[in-house]
Amino acid sequence: MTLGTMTAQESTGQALHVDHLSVYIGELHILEDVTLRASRGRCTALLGRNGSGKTTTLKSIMGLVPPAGGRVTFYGRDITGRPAHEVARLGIGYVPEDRGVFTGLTVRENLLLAQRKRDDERLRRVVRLFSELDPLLDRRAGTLSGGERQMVAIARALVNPVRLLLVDEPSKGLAPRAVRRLAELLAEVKKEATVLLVEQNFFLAAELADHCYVLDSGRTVYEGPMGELEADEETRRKYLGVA
Amino acid sequence: MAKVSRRTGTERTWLLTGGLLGLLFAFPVLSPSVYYVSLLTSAALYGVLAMSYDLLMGYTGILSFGHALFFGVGAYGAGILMRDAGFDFFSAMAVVLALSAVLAAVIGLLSLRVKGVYFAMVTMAFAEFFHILVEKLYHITGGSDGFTRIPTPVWLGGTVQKYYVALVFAIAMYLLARRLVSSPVGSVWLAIRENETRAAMLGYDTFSYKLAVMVISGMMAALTGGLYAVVVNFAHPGFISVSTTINLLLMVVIGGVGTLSGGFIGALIVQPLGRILSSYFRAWLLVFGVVYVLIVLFFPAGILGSVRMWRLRRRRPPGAPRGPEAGPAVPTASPAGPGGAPMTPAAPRATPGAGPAAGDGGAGGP
Repeated sequence: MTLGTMTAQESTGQALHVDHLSVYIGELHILEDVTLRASRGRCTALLGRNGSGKTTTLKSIMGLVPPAGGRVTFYGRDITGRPAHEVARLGIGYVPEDRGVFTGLTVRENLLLAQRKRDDERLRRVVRLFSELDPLLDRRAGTLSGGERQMVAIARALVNPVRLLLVDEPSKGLAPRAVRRLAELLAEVKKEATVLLVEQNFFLAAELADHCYVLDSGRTVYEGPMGELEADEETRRKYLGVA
Repeated sequence: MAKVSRRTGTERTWLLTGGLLGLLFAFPVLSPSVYYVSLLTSAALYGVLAMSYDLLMGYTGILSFGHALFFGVGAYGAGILMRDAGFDFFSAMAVVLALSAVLAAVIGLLSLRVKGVYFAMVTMAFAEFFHILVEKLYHITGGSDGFTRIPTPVWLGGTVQKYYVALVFAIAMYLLARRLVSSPVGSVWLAIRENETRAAMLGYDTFSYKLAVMVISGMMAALTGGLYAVVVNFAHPGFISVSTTINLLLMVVIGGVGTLSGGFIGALIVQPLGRILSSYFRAWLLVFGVVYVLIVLFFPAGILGSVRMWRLRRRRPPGAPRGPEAGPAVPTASPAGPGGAPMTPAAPRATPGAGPAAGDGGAGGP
């Protein structure tokens, strides 16, 4: 299944560079000098415990939380503090933690709404990829299960040519069977788009990601290939609570 | 993409609509007195005004307390241009449209930077400013007395003619509004109402869309105001007052928020009922208050909204959530985009338990 997301030129090198990003919310220092890179065509995982700043990092990249310092560049272009709609139009898709589907609209309407420029063929391919959604197209998204909503959220991000996909806790609250299906879908998506994945489920992240960063109290405390972190039991135990 | 439309009860809806329109067109013949015809004329125009407010509040989630300003601008603009500057009706309306568009754009640019109650306060301040201005510019506007002697076009000469013009105007405006909310732009308005941040995350410049709805609803209100002033041959500072906007809010809430036609139902209750009650009871406002309370108690989503909710419940597949997420009277928009070709060869309607994940008990949401 191909979504034709990346151009050949974009399939190598660096897609996203977050450079010494700091974020305050009120008096609280949420992120402090967070630096990370997402390589083109790869899946990069952002790991850490609850409250470590993973979601804030994604929101800040997306322009939903203004940074207090640092820089975010996307394919060499400075997007620091740019409004969310501009960031999205550059080809960054965002799947938020709460799925972010429009519950009052049907699945079909959610997908159509997300597609800013008409591309029927792309829509068909996305629905083919997320085949479970096909019989649910006329159902209101508010009546779907968590797994189905997650699929709508990811499918919605893919109905436009997406160069970078930010996915926040896709497995959160899902049953093991739904997580398995989700892993298969994300593995497909990964073939076509650069993915920055925030995930608490270490095993899912290990399955999908090539490279990883670990955040703790708003700071980057670890960076390396996913395989190395899998082998580094001490770091896993210390920062992720996973043996 | 297969067309997104309500497929059930379509025939019944058409029959009802046709019957209602037939009744409305025959009303002057059936009515025992022209008084009731003029009441319905007024209700039709207030219905359009309420509908324009519904575009703003019901479809985009923008609560304005200054919407009556545009109604007043239309009434005063058309009245002054026709009475003092010798404009004919259509030229005056064209100027009113342009003026209201510019005014709505300026007010929108200044006020849409803030949200919620702050937006409501800023718009109320603008409306009050114009309200005071109209009262102070006595030589032009007639001050707090307002003014009459607006030249009436020949084709608007009698009560029945006024009724038919108002009715055709209301139908045309309704069709225009329906077209708008069914368009891609309408879908984005709905998305903004549901969650503005999510709409922005999809790449929509929500500010521009909110500005657009403000300009469109402002123009619609101004056009209605212009026609209303000519029909009643009167313009008054009360047209701009906050109480007029609150009346609109009541009309929309009573009829059903986010339904378009609910505004007409609300206007039909608020306008004629008020006048009829006032002719029978001295304490008619008290009776009115009780009616409002009863409607809100028994029809929390408004009359039309409650009917839609009831129909939705009847159609809901077994096992679907019953909570608020199941969605109250959310208007069905046909979002944009690929509006013709099917998304898949056959896009069947959801059936209970359809799809591998549909009955997946384990895949429950968070």
